[in-house]
Order: sequence, then C-alpha cells, then structure tokens
Amino acid sequence: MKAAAFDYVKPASLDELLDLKLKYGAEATILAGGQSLIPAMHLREVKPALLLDINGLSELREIRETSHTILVGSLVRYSELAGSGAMTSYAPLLGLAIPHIASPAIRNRGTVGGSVALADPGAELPACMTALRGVVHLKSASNERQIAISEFFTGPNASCINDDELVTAVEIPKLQPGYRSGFAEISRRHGGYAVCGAAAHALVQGRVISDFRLVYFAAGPTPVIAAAAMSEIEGHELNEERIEAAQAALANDITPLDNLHGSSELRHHYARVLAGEVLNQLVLEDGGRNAG
Amino acid sequence: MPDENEIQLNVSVNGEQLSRSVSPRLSLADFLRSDLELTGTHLACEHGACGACTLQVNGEMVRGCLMLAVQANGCEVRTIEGLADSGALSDLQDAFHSRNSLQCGFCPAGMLMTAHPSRQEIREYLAGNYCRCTGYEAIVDAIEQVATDRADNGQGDQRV
Repeated sequence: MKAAAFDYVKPASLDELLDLKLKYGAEATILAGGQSLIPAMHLREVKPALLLDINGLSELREIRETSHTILVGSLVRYSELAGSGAMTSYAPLLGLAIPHIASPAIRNRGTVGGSVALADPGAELPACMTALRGVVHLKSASNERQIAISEFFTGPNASCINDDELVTAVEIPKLQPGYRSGFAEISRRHGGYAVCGAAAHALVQGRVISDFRLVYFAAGPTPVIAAAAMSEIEGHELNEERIEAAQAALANDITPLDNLHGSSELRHHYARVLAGEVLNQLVLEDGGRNAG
Repeated sequence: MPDENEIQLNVSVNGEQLSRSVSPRLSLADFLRSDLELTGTHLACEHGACGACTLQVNGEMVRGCLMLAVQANGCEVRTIEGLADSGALSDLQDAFHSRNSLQCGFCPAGMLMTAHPSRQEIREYLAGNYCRCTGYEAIVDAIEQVATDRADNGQGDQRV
C-alpha cells in the first residue's frame, strides 16, 4: 500500500511550526523520524491532511546538560542518544534499552520525541523514562508546560498532548550515586515488538533496594508502574523470598491482553520472569550495565 | 495519482546531482525505482520490517520505504547500484555467490547494504533483514569471511 495524498511543509523555525500547528490542529501531523508514522500511512491507518516535517529544526536535536538533569531534544535519534556521553553517564538505563528498539536502520531515523508522542504502550523508551521519573516538555504558540511522564500517557497511542502542542524535549534527572538500572525484554525476534518488557531503577546499598521503580511495557494500555510489586521490594534486602513476593504481587499491577504475540496468561508469566531478571541485574557488580 | 502540490527535490544519487518535482506521498524507495529506474532497491513490506529497501542517506543506513523522497532534499543517497558499480561490494558479492548465500535474489541488495563485520554485529544488524530462502547461516558466513579478509588485507574500514 501507498500513503494517501497529503500536503507537506517543512518549517524553517520552531515559531513557524507552532503557528501552523495552532492553525491546523489535529489536521496537521508532525513528521519526526517517521518510523511508525509512515508505515501507518502506508497501511492507510492514518491519513493526515498535512505533514509538518520538523527535521529542519536543529534546536530540537540537542542533548543538553543542566545541573541536575539532562534534556533530550525531541528530534534526537535513537542512534544519536545511544552514542551520547551524557546518556552513558547520567541515564544508562536508556543505553540498556536502545539495542532492543527495532534494527540499526530504524534507530538511525526514529526519534525520542516521536516515541513519546506516539505513546505506544509496547515501546521501550517511554517505560524507561517513566522509571527514571522523566518530565515531558511541551510547547505551543502561546504556552509552554512540563508534565511528569508518569502523568503523560492516557491510553494506547493516547496522551494528554493538545492539538496545538509539540513535544520539544524529555528531561531526565541525572543518575545519582548508588543508583542502578535493569532492563529486560521478551520479543519473538531481536528488535521485534515486545511481548513483554521491564525497566527497573533503584538505590542499591549492598543488597538493600530503595527508591525502587519497576515499570512494564507491553503489559497494559500505557507504561505500567508496578506499584504492588515495588512495595514488596522497597527497603528490603533482595533475596529469593522478596523476589517471589514481588512476582506474585504483579497480578495486581499489570493487565496484558491476549494478542497475537501471546495470551494474557503467558504475558503475566513473562512479566514475573522479567521481574526476577531485572531485580537480579540491580545487584550485579556492573549495575546491570551489561545486561540485556 | 497526479498531484497538484508537487515539491522540488534536489538530491545527489550515487554521486549524480539531480533535480526533480515529486509528490510528497512518494517514498524515497519508490522515487529511486520509478523515477530513476534504479530497481536494485527492492520493496516488500513497505513498513520497515523486511530490510529489502535499505539505503544509505548521508552515509547512514536507512529504510527507503520509511523516508519520503522530499525528505532527501539536499542529501546524498547511495543505492546498491552505486556501491556495486564502485566495486565496494565485489568481495561481498563473490562471497555471497560462492557460499550460496542467496536463492531467490530478493533480499541480497538489502543484505549487502546492511553487511557489518563481526559475527555478533552481523546478526544484530541483519535482524532487520528478512530472507525467506537461506536460513541466514550462509549470509552470516559470507559477510564474516569478507570482514576477516578485509582486516587481513589491512583495510581499516571494514564496513561496506
């Protein structure tokens, strides 16, 4: 299939883009990396009247460091993020996840902002950024706002972004001393869609885990913060009994449906396996940096 | 479909500077195949899964089906024809031939565009390229052999 006809504009400035988004609203779709949008257009699942190509807006392509955070511009491509020193130093969880995203040719085009704006519940980065307590930066012609990424997603491919807004960046707190990350995903083929996946982040002292975050993807309508499982681990020394308690609690957290990748029951099983995997990564010598 | 809102595209393809008027809905792979008759770039799934349309744009490997032709404005595009004509792929083509790394011939253009040196890297890179004939083993063998040969010959940049 081929995409239906549309108009195409490549704004030269962010102001011009935001003015056009204000004028055309939902009729105008943002083209960032296009690695999900263009397939959906080819399949005629979406038929935008107007594509606004933001690839000329170099200010969206920066990874900027502030005193406590890193700001990842929405047009930063997965391959650029993977090669960035700021990510390696301050958000290594993202580095564990990126090799699982599709294949290298897709990672050369797909963008951080596109992944967030698309709000695919099976995507890796939204879950990781939720585990890291990321903040989404949104901008319209008349307003700027920031929203915790844990509040941003409202359902499958749905978020609280308004029709006149653009995701300009995601801000991620810098890794603090003693914090470690874990990541694991099950897919049918390397780079394939996740059947189930998990991201973990915590302060690890010896084997005692605190400020623990466990977030699932492909396990519900949005990235899912596994609150019940987290409370079984929080403040405890990690041992088999704790891991089993967390695995049992997951039944209260996640709601994977039957789909072509696997039954709900199978995906619950995978979620329990992945909990054990990411928890064990947290207490590895290398802090899970070589996991995956 | 005729389109009234065609856009001017200036692009370098295999070293040749071109100027064409294109419809926004035309993918880069379709532009190469239908407008330039460079049919070595193959199209199968048209949603980024199969890798048959893999190209280089400004030196980076991309999916030709997931980029609009208009997005290549001002870019340098290299196709399988460009790399084959320059001889850059000769050893890989020979190795694919001698190891029976292809059967029906649909996927090899994308495979060759994706070839990468170490065995683990080859498998990771080729995870995005489907072959329905060979079972992949002979393809990995061929690429690995060429990577080793190139390293032995002191060719620093082993990547195609």
